Amino acid sequence: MRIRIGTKIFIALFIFFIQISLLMFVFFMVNRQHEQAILNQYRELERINLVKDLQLALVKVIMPANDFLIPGGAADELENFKVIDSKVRDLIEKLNRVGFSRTEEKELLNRIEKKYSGIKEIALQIFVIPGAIGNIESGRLMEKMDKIADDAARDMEMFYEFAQRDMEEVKMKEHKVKVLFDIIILAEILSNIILILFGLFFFRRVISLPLETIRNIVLEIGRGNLEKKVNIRSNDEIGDLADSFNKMTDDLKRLIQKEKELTTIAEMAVDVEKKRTVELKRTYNKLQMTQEQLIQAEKLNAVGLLASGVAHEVRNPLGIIIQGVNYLEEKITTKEEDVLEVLAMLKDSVKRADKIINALLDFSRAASLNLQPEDINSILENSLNLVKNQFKFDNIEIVREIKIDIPRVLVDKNKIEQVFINILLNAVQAMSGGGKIIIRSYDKQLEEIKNGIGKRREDHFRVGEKAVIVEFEDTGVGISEENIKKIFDPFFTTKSPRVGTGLGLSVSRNILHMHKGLIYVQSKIGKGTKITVILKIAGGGKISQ
Amino acid sequence: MVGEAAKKKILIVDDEEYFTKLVKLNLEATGEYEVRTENKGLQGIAAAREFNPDLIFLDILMPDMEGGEVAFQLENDPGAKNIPIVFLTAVAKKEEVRQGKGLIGGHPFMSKPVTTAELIQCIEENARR
Repeated sequence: MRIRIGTKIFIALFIFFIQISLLMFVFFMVNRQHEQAILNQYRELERINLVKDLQLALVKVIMPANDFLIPGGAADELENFKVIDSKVRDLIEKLNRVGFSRTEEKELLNRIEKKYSGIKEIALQIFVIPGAIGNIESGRLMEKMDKIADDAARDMEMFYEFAQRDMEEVKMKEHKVKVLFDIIILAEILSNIILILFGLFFFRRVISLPLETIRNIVLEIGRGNLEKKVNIRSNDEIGDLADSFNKMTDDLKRLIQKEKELTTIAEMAVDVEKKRTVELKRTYNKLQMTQEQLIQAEKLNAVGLLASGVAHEVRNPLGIIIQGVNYLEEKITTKEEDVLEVLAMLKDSVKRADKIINALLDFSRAASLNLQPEDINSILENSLNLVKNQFKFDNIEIVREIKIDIPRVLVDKNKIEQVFINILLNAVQAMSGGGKIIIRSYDKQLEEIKNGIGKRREDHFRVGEKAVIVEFEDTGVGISEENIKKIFDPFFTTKSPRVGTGLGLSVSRNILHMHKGLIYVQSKIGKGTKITVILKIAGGGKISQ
Repeated sequence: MVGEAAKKKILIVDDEEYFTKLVKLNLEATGEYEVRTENKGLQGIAAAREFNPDLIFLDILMPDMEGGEVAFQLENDPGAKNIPIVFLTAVAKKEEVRQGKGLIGGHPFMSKPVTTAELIQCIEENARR
């Protein structure tokens, strides 16, 4: 059942009111009793006084008659008697008016009244007896009156005792009421204290504590602790508030959960998007690389096919020519110089054509590499020996600036040898009048950013990457700036057709390209040429910037 | 007849008619060899069975049947499997001939263009008898 907080307060106040009212009522009642008791006390006191006075008056009442009978007594005794009589009657009337605490008292007073009436009758008889002094009759009356007065005095004594006893009782009663009064006041104070305490407890329990709890929970939730619940079971507005609050917390939790989920989803989406972007980029790069490789391979393939085709188509006729020349050499008996020279020229031309075909085949076959970690210095030495076997180095000085402890390079030994041979041959051919070739090998971290070293995808080296560098510096004729741009083009040569095919450097660059290496040429006409070859270190050159 | 019998029999299979004709002329001019020429792979196989040469020069790239196929068929022919074959090719280089020890599919090969002297040297090294 739902009880509003107002109702609760009302009930509490009502209980308080009832209690106060009850106490007031009791207080009132007791107070009245107390008042009654005090009144009773006064009445008893008055009666006692009246009884005393009456007692005295009754003793006195016989005195005028007595004095009247004494010779020389006052003449105005009757008057005295009348005063006393009126006093006695007045006292009796007063006593009757005051009332009685018990019937015995009333009977007693009636008896006393009757006895007094007897005394009065006798007294009045005495006063009317002329010459009463010494009169027997008056003496007898006097005795009689004394007797009645004694009786009355005894009754009065009894009446007095009664009155005193009443007084005691009333006093006792008054005391009892007073004690009760004290108790009631004490009880009222105590019960009020209890009620106030209970009220405080009630308000604390019903309003303050729950509100404080809710406040704490609100702060707690504010700090992000959504697991907190307001644990208040109450059938009033505070309970409603607690329920609503818990519901709000649940809703908030759900919202936050939802928000988290959304955030997670969003993050996941972002992640997926990022991943996709990265993947896309990677795929794109891969594709481009593959495409490039494909194009390269296709080029090579095309060149290879072309080379094979050309080789086949050219060499067959060459074979025929050479066979023809051979035949003619056998058949011709003439010793004519010209004829023999023509035959020699034919043979020479066939050789030249064959040489070009060979170079073309070289160019097309660089595709397959047999990569192994190799010592660059021994490759250099091999190449140098091969070149020395074919050409005379009489006037040429070879200077080696070799770094002994150099990292191994990942290369196809034969192909790199071919490159070095090409470079060395070019150098030798550029120094027909003699000169010097400096061969250097060293490793270093690449610094300069030029073609092939940098951050672009197509760059073979990164800045800071360690690589092996080989330099060939000659003191030959040099290459013009115009020609430097063309020296890597196939079939470009400045040499006589008998000497060069124009494919050497082109093939060399191709080979280095396939090794992910680089080749640079620096040259000055008349001073010489410097060729720089950069190769990858086996196992990868660590980049340390 | 004795002299004729002592001559080494050489079969040349090459789609280049000029080439086969000239080689025949050159080799027969030495008086040491009896040369037969064929310009088609299939005919080359038939000629090998029939002529039973001491050596066959076999071109690799031929229009009707490749030299490799011809060699394969001859290897599996009881009557011809012992005849030495030397391939002639225009697509290999002389260095490659040396590097590969001059063998294609177990057979030596020569790179065109070849001189008569080179052919004779090859016959002396590889022919039967």
